[in-house]
Amino acid sequence: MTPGRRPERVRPERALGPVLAAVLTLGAWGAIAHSSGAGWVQALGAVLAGFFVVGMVVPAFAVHRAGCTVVGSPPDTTAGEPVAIEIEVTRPVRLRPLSPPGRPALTGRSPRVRLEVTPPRRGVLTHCEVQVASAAPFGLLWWAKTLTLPLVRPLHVAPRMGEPDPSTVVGRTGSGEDRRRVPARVGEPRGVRPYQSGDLRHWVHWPATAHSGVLMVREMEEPSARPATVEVVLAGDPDTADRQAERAMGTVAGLLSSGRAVTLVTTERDGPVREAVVGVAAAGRRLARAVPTGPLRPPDAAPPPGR
Amino acid sequence: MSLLSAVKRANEPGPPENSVLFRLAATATVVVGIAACWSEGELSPTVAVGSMALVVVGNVFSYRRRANPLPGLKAVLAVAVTIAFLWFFLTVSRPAVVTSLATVEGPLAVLFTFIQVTHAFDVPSRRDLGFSLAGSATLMAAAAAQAIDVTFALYVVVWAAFGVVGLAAMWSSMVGGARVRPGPVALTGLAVLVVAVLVVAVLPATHASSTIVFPSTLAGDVPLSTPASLVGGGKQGTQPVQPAQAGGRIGVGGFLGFAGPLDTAVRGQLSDQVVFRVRADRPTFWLAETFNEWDGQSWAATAVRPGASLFVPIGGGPPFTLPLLSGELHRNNLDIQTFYIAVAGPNLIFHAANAAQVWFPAPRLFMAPDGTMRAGTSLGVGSVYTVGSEVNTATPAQLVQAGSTPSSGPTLTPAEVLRYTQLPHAYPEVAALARSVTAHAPTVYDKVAALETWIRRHTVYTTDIPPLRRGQDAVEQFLFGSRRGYCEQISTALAVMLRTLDIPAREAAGYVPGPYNPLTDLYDVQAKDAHAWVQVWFPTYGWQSFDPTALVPDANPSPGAALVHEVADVTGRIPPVPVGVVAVLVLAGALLWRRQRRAPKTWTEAMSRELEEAARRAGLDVDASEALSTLGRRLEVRFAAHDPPAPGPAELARATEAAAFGPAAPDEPTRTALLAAARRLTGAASHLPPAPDVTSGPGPTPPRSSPRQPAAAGRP
Repeated sequence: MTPGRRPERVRPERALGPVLAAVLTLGAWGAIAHSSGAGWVQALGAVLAGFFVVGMVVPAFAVHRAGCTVVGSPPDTTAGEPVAIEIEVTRPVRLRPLSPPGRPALTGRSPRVRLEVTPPRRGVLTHCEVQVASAAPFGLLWWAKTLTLPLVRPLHVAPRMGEPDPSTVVGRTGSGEDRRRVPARVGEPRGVRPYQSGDLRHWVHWPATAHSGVLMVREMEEPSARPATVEVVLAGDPDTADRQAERAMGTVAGLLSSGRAVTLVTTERDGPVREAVVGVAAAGRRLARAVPTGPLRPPDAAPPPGR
Repeated sequence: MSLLSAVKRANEPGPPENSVLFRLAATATVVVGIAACWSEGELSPTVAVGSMALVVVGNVFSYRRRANPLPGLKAVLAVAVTIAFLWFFLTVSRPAVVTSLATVEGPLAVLFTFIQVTHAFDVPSRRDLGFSLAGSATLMAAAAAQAIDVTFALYVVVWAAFGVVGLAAMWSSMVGGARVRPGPVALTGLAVLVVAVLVVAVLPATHASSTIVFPSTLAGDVPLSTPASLVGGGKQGTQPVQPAQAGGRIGVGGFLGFAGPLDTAVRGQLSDQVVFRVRADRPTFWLAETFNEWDGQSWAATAVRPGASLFVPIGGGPPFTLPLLSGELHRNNLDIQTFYIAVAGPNLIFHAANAAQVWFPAPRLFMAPDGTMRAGTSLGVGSVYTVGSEVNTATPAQLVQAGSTPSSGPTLTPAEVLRYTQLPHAYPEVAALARSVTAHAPTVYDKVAALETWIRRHTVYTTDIPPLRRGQDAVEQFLFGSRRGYCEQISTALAVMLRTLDIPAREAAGYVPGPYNPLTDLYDVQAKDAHAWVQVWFPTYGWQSFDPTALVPDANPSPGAALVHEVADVTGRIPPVPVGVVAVLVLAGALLWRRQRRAPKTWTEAMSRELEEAARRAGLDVDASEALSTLGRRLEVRFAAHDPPAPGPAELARATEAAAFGPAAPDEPTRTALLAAARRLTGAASHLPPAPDVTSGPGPTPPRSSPRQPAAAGRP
């Protein structure tokens, strides 16, 4: 989306029907008045013409003078999910969000309108494009213009939650604390269990074996402090990039939900960024800012200036 | 999408409309439309009042059932409307009824009203209310077709105002119930009015199509015992006119010309009253009578043969096709004029010169050899008739050439030439004057022009002329005496001078076109528009009208008389009711504004004023520099033995000061309660017994005049 205000061109909406109806009505009225020779019929037709002219022309001025300001917008959302943007208008109008798309809203009594928009793609929105329409004062003909409004704060549109990378998925059958544990052949001992075929000999836990009478072995889990690094490489094609971002989102969310610390490596407008993400929202913001990239820099490469 | 589904979709009821203002305005437009039809006589009072009541009831019903319409109601209403349409077609298809377009408009108004009444019971949604608004325009149109005076503007303005409010409320409802603000609505109404006025100014005047039947109706008509006689001379429409007399009555419609002979010795006074209205293709003189015989003081119309009747009956109408007279040419370019009688007048059929066809609802008319006509009945208020006149106005160049070549047009017989060059005596001085004036004018037209120029240069126009002595010749007195006169004297002088030159001329009487009303497209002919002018015979072109009076300059009136006349004219034109309403509104606004200015701006100011007023009523002196709490304590002392209302004055004063200077103001209910208590205290102070004759309160007696400043302006 191009920041800044576009030239405001006020155009009528579906004008053919109302204009044709008005012309036909006035034409027929005038013909009757003129052939019957009744001056008051003609005068009444002039009043009707006044209604039509005012009703069809004044909305253009109303739309031209209508001003809109975004007074409230959330910082985060997810692609495909509706989000409300609060807009203050100077006069009663109909607002139709164009980019991101959404449902049209009427001002009603309040000058503030909650405009529900649904960003279809991930990204960072700094502006929104709305169509401002009015048929004031008579509702006979709608005129509209398109405005590009700066948001109060950038709106980070996180990618949808995609399927996680299978390589990061571990079997989880337990619940609660168990779901967060990642079994490993080496690591921190977390308990004992009966021997299974393939268990190493030095895993045998003799006190437990003696206590239970069954051969017991130590159970190990991966150290939780070691972060998982997720590198996101987005393709140039927006659709492909969105799918990749969604997958990365799912992967990161899965890792985070399993208790793992995650370092997300993305490329933003200013260059590659390697930072830990502390939650799904932060990951969403990072992925929202991510742009298609070329070859990744080495992990230990110096961060770009200003990072 | 099939046609059926499209129709079904189009007829699906919309969401219920909840805007009460929109509904009220839509209902009001319909009611105004019905009232307009009633005022124009298209609906009987019973039908109109009943319809208005039903429309209101129907809309209330629709509002209550808007979310849950009665099942089957649409079908019942559809059947009712179908029956109404059948009634309408049966009514208008009766040949005896349809005599003109106007006769269809009555049943049409009834049909429109019936549709609106039935529709009022099924108006749940915005679209239905919009139909009510649009439908009211058809009612207004039906009424407008019959309206001929400016009072209809009242209905148009009220209807348009409700229409503006209704549409504004509709728009408000469209955007989710935005508040309808009076200011923008008024501006919008003003814009509609401006556009309407511009459109009226730009559009050409309406013209009745010649393919329709022209309107003609009689109202208050009474058949005359002597059909061709001239009536309308008194309050009774059938009373015969009497010759005008000096010092007596002033003639029919205020003009002596319609009272049989035209006596130039009698002075009349003409009013502003509209006598009839004319819808015409173009303005012209509305001719009533012409006179051929001049006796030195009066004009008279006489029969061609002594003892014969001047007027002959004409049948075969309506429309009546008038016989071709010697002064007429072709009947291929009719100038249509419809006359709407506004006051009971003479039974003269006014018309533009050279009438050829008359639409008049009577079996016969009476016509004189000069082409003027009379009805066989009296003409009451509301009578309407239409005349088609041959357009026979020649250009000056054509009139200069007239007679120079052999004429292919109408000619006068020698007897007719004698008839229109008749003079009571030789008029040697007048003849000499006429000959000298026209010495260098070779053609008839040149002579007429030369005489008109002489009259313009040597006479002045005034209605304030001395009475004519008995036996004195009006023309000689005018030309060689006062040289002051009005249309009768001026036109008579021209006619007589022309006759001394053996040029056929006659005196014509009627009305000038009158002011044109662009709203009604009618010429409002007033009594003061009565006029006399001259008709001169031209070979080929027949009788042509000349108005020498129009060229004559006004006499210099005395300043005092002119001032009185102007003041009377201006004050007479002020409509009392609108001006009175505006004056009352301005006065009410000024009083309201004054009261607003005097009203306390803040709660603390109101409380201070109440406590001060209570102190004054209690007989205490009030000092503007005194703290309110001190005043409260003094009031407390004053009330001590008389059971003051709770809370007491001291508490009220403390609360006021706390509100003014404290950190938090009391909430609205508390403020309302405290102010009410202060008012009760003021009321109770009025009933206190007189204070003892000692100076109360601390310090010296303060002055009484200085008002207390608001304790804390701007604070609640």
